[in-house]
Amino acid sequence: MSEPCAFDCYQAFKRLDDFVDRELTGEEMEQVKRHLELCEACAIEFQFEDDVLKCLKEKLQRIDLPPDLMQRLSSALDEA
Amino acid sequence: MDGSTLRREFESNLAPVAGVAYRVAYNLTRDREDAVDLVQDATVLAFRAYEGFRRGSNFRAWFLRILTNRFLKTRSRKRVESVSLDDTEDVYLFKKSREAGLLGNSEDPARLVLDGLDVEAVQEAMDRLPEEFKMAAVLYFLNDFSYEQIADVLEIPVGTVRSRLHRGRKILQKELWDVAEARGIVSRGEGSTDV
Ligand SMILES: [Zn+2]
Repeated sequence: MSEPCAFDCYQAFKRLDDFVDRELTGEEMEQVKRHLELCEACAIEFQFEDDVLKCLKEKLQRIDLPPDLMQRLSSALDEA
Repeated sequence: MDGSTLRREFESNLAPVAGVAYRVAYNLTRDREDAVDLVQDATVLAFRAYEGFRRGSNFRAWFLRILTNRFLKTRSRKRVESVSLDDTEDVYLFKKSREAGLLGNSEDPARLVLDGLDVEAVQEAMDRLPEEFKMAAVLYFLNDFSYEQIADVLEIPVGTVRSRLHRGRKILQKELWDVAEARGIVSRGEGSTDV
């Protein structure tokens, strides 16, 4: 099978969100990747979007938990 | 299966999910006690329905479906007014960071903007999302779920999840920049010459 040809900037950009979320088909993922190898401007932009999402995930996943959470859930089951 | 075996099995499934369930609940209710109450309610409901849970399917998704449904049934209607959806712009943070001359100065300019924002600030920005966008975003940020798994939790089509997540993150980026500006992490109108 021949290699898929790379997207242009517009075609790649339309797929930015799906790309960073790995929601494209395998072939489209490859085509975007190939574009990013060739186009530094898009590569920087895509990296930025990816970093923003990663950074937000990290922050939200660090919300403190109540130390006795599981006990409280167990007690709720006892009382139910 | 007898009652105590069932209970033990349920709790062993619940334990690794309780933390994420609480964080989802806290993002939705924005109150620590309300969040615990919501997870407790979901726990009781889930245990009652547990015999119907298909073994081997995704407990986390199943539990979060119960939790989000419970939230929608019980939440008070009073909400922060959400932003308009009309003025969403693509890659807002990126454009603003470029305008402010932040892109060349760092290996990771996204972190430069966001590191100064604590989790409370991020949540304030999230609060500005319309509720159905926020629910998808919360599930997205707190789990490594695919769009399909989020669709499964919220019982909506995958295409709806996709558009809510994509539009939601545009709104969120603008809100985050505004918060960063308000807190002096990035300066207003600085270096507005475009690259
Ligand atoms: Zn390009």
